[in-house]
Amino acid sequence: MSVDITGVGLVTIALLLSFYATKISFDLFKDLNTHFFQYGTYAYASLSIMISGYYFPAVFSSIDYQQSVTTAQLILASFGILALAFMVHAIEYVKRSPNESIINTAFILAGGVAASRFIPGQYLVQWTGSGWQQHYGISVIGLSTLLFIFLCVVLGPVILNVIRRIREADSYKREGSLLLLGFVALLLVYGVYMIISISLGIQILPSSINYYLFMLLIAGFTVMIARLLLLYPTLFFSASYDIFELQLVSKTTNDVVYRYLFHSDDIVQDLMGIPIAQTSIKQVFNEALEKPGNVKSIRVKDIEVLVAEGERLYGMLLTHRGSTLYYRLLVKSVELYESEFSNNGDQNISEFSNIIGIYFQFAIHRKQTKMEVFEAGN
Amino acid sequence: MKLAIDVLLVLSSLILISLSGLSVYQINNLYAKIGTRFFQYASSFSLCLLIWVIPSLIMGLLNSPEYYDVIIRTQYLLRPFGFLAVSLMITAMESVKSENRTMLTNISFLFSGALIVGIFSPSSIVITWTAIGWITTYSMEFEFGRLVLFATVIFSAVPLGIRLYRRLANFLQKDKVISFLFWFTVAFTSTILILQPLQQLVPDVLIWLFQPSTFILDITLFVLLVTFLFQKHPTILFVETHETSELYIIKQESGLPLYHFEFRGGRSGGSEIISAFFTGIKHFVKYSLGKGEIESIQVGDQEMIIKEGIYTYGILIAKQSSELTRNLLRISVDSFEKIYQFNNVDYIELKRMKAFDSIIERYFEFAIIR
Repeated sequence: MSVDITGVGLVTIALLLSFYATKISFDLFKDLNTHFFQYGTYAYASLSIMISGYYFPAVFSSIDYQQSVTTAQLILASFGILALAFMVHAIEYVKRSPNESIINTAFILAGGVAASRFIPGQYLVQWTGSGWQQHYGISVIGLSTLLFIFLCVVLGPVILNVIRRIREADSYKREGSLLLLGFVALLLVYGVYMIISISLGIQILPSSINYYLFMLLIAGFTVMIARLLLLYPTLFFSASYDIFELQLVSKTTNDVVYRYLFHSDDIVQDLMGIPIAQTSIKQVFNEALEKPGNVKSIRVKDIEVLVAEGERLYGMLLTHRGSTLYYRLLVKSVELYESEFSNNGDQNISEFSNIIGIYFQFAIHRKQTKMEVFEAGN
Repeated sequence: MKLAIDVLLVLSSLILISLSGLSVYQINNLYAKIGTRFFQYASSFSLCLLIWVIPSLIMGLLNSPEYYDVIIRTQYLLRPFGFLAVSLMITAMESVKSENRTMLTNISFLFSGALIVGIFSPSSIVITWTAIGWITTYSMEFEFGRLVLFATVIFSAVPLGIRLYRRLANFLQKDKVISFLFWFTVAFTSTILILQPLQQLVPDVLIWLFQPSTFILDITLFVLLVTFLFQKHPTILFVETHETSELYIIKQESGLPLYHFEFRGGRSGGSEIISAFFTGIKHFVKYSLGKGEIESIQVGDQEMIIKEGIYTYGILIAKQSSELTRNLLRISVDSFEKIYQFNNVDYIELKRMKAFDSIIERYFEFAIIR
């Protein structure tokens, strides 16, 4: 067995980065319980499997193992294509109305590209004397191009939306811009390198590094996206502007202790009746229907009030149409306020508003957030 | 040029084409009425099946080696719809289990894509003309892909079948036509599947079991069964047992209960107190939010869905509202008002009450526990 130490090192780095990104995405899924993070985790996990396939050329770095390396790459690299389909699935679920036919098409195309690599002569891993090189047939190139165009059409608007949001919102500017710039720089360097290599027919870097470059780029990309999501979990979610107001109401006094308006125009809804109605509704469900529980949402013609009950507060979110994400964010807001910000002070409240601004960024229809704070009892 | 026709293949293909067309029409009607992803995908499945069977019709009509090019072209062009049909069938079956898209659906589309591309691989499918007609053979890799797609169908259908077992057993005893179709289809399909690997050992008299026309006949039986099933029991597959518990129809002005159905026990009375509560909550929320009529309230893991009619309103208590429950509540309120022909009375006759019972039992069949 002839081991390529550089290759093994590069694959290990990429695999660790990819595992780290998977962990971040999984933690966010546990926290917010949305399809975006669930399928994002599957995409990252599939990428990790693809990257692990690169151990074969690195560990079996000799012409004797050509068949084994080709088979391993053929099977495990297919997970990279599957990851693209999962990515489309995840991205569709950041929209308010996911389009299932787009997800179906993504999986059909991914299956097609993966299958085309198994057609004899369409995918080869060849030993060049100093390292491995991959060769693709016309079917693989054609179908991969089709998949790439499809990805650009589906993901393009979402990426543009993220860039616009980073440019507009003050809170995103520093870290978001740095991560975005880092990714664009990485892409440019790789692109220029590939153009020089292909057009001039020269290979600047040695084969042992060259073969693993693309995988490293992918791993770097996944970590940047995961870091960005860790900082701003709802950055990718389509701007819906259908959340109007967040209110935290004291359970004992029924006073509003905190209020956050998501739009510059003051659409202030009187939600004071909700905690009172909540008691009656709970009673009917508990006693008459024998179905105990807390009121979670009340939907009236064109609005929905989500209700989360904390230890000392009721959290209420006035929206056009509720969702699991909105409810999870409301629960988090109540928990956060009760645990860390309940000791009223302007500094504290301002910090809480900043956190709310970050979590609900996709719903804020203005550059500068506006808040109204009430002290309990006033 | 004289045409050599495989009569059996032509006939079976024509029957399947007609039946699939009928199925598309029938399921589309149900989709227009009840909505839900299930009927949407089931209708697309029937349409893809209709397209998939066209190459068989052409094979039957052009049963001679001189038409090889035409046969190959139609196979390349139209056979992929068969794989799409399988994926759409799995999506439909999965949609009755969960409101969200499942992993099995993704896997089925992934393998459909792989098989569609596989068709165009030179060695995947070989079509040859023999004395008994056209014969199609597949490469090992292609067979593997087909096997995986078949396995996803089994994985999707078996849990659904287990959940359906009691309900199926119940109506199979009552409905002789569906019962016969069901057991005949099961027996016929099982025989083909069991004997398929033993083809070489089977006596000559049974060789017709492996003819393309027999395979098409088997699918025809399946489509026939599904068409009959949905005609009589449109929501039988929605096995949301225990999810939907009660239905109330209440008079708008007075808040008096006009109809109360418990899915665990049937029609019942004594719902005056609850109706009064509902009316009170409805008015309170309406005036405290001031935005219009209340549509739903979620308490714990139960949801109260409300639908306004002209002079009544319906309330459905369900574990979670879905497009299905909302549409069925709408159908219930509309049907109630239609049956009572806008007779603005507080008490209604038993005869008409029974007529409404049968509507509820038809549409909420999936939820009724006897």
